[in-house]
Amino acid sequence: MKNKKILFGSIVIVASIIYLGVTGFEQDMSYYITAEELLEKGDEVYDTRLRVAGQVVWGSIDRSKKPMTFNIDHNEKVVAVHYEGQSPVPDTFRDHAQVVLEGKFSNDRIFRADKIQAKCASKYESRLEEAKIK
Amino acid sequence: MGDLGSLTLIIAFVVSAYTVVVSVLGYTKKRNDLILSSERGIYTTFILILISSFALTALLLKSEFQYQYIQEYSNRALPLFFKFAAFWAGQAGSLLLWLLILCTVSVAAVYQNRNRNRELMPIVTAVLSFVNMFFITVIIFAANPFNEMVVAAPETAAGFITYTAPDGRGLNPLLQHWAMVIHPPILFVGYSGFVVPFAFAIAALATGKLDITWIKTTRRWTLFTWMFLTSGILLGANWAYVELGWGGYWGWDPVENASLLPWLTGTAYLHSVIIQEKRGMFKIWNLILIIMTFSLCIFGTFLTRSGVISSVHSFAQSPIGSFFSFFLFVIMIIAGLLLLKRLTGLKSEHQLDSMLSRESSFLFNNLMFILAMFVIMFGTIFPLITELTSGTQSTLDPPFFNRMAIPIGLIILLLTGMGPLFAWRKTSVYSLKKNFLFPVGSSLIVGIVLFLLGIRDFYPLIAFVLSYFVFHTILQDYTKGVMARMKTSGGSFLKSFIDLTLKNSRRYGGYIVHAGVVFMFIGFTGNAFNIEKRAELLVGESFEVGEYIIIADKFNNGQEELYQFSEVYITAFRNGEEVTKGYPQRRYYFASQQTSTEVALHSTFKEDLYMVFEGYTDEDKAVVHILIKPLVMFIWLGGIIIVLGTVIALFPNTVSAGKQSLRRIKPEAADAAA
Repeated sequence: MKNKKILFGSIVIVASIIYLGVTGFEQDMSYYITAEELLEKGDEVYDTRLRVAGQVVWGSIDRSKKPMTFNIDHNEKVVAVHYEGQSPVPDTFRDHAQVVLEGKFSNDRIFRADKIQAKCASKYESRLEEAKIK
Repeated sequence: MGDLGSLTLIIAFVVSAYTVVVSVLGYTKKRNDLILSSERGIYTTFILILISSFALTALLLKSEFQYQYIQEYSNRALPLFFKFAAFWAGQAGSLLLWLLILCTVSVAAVYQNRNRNRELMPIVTAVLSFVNMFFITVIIFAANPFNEMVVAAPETAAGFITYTAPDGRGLNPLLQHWAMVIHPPILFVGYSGFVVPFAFAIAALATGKLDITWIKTTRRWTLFTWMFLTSGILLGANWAYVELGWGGYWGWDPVENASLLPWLTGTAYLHSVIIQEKRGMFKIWNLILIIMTFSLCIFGTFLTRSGVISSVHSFAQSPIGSFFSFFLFVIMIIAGLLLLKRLTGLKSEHQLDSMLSRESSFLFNNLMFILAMFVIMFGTIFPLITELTSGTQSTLDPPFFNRMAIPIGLIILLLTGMGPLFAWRKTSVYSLKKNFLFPVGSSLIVGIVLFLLGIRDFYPLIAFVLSYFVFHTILQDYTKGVMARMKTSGGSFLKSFIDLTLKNSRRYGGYIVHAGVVFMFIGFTGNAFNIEKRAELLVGESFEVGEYIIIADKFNNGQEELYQFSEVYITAFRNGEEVTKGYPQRRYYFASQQTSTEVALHSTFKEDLYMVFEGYTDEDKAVVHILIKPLVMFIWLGGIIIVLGTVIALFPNTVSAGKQSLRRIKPEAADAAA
């Protein structure tokens, strides 16, 4: 009898917390695709908020323009990026960095990012790749 | 030196494999000589791994850059302290450190039980050695720090030339911080220590000695490990806060979540074993919890190192992921089969008597911790789930985690206050009134006052009120005990306080930990009141953030041995008075060719003034980012109190356990009778 009460109480608590999670679940979700997949999807994903992963193409960063431009690639498919965010780019953002961009892909086939996250690649990765300098 | 390191690893592999086989044989054939030999195997493995670790340390201190690991993580100009710390800057070295700690823990456990628990020890030894063997295997085959540089053929494409760094590429500047230096070893102790209760649980299952012995033997181990895991997580958070320059301490990144998962089940376990000790309930559950906790330590490593989940700070993809997943699979299968076999022997000795009892409050506590674990696990592996179901990965952002974790956290906070006020078995209406009337009443008053003061958002208000409530209940119970003691012994308040705490260190240590948790919740709640603002300033210009006026006094550039820097001299004023000066920097490290941000921080209990220099604009203005973060200090203070409380709980009780459980039930019974 007592155990039933406790079971009931537990179910109520768990259910209400899961309910909290389910409402607004969509907003918390963002698609995570690579630069290659972005180009494949093209039309499907215009104006959808996305996270796109890729590697900064060597020498493509142009900080003199406003907005700043650069290219990222994944499996040799290159996407042009305009960075239109407020905050400065992270310290780890540089040529050959692995980055995750947040933003939208527009009709002119430019990815307009408002957020850049650059992987702390150096932390645990073999950096022989990066050891090549121009 | 490198050869010595590799060689000792290989011998250690053979020794640990021998140890596993011999200890199991010793158990099945009941041969003491074999059991003794297996225990010596544990000691030998430790000595070999110690030599191997010394070898790596020697290579680092002597700057032997022909070794790839040294090349990548050390640098000739690095201060000695950081050269030493470069030991665990990379994956291979971290694993070696983890293994060294595992071996140390194994030796301690075997030595501690050399004359005790003789029926359990052969299996305990086998499990410990099996885990050691697994780590040695991974290091030898997938992450060997003693590999020498392989000079690749010069890259001809795209005009690259091979860059050779004879002085080493240096420790990542982000890791050149004291908290990050001690964070990995502490976290590894927090993971490794769980191997002891895990090994004892498996031994209890395998031998059928399922009484309370395995729990009693490992109680201190679990607490000790939990303390390290807690401090490890907090140090990581502190490092992220002071070093990364984004002003946060927790970002729900897979790497962070991975360390939180075993902490959640471990915390649940710490509470639920009390029920088994006092009431003989939750026996199967406790076994599941400790198996889960140890498995989650392994799972976290698999998750973050295998590359299955993309994360901003995830480690590189590496073959060690598959090793870890295989190991996890083996653990789960063995533990699962043993558990099934012994299911009938694990009947609960009692039933839950009432909803309002200590037992059921523990039950709800466990429910919430497990729910939190599943929610965070779900959010963390969500990209994997969506990839399987729809082919593309979707991630869940921090708002999801916050929305789920805040209510769960608050319920846990509420239970922290209520649980200790309930009696075992059943709480009488009389004692309910007596224990709850005052705390609940004054909490309501605190709530009303805070509301009138302008704290009107739901969660912050609830969080502050609950924090007060828990603090009140702790103080109430503590002072009640101290007063009673003063009466009987006639000592001073302070003396009675200390005596009482030491007499029942487990209970009062627990209370102190709970007080630390309250402080942390207060700190977390501060997040609801953050203010931030960014401005582009020339020398002499100022701007306003919250109550502060920020002035850029001077720009400065300079050079140190490892890096060059530019910095802004900032003075912060409040109400016309100077509060602090700060010198946030941006550094460029030569060896690793990386920039890094050095935050200037002015901490008070009320709030932190967090100053970041984000670089110059094209017009040579300094971009200054100021964050006002209320109550953050309470988090770190809470952490220190938690560690202190755990240390007290680790003290031996002056009252024996049996007496103590009687005492705890008696006063409540007296209440009921009155």
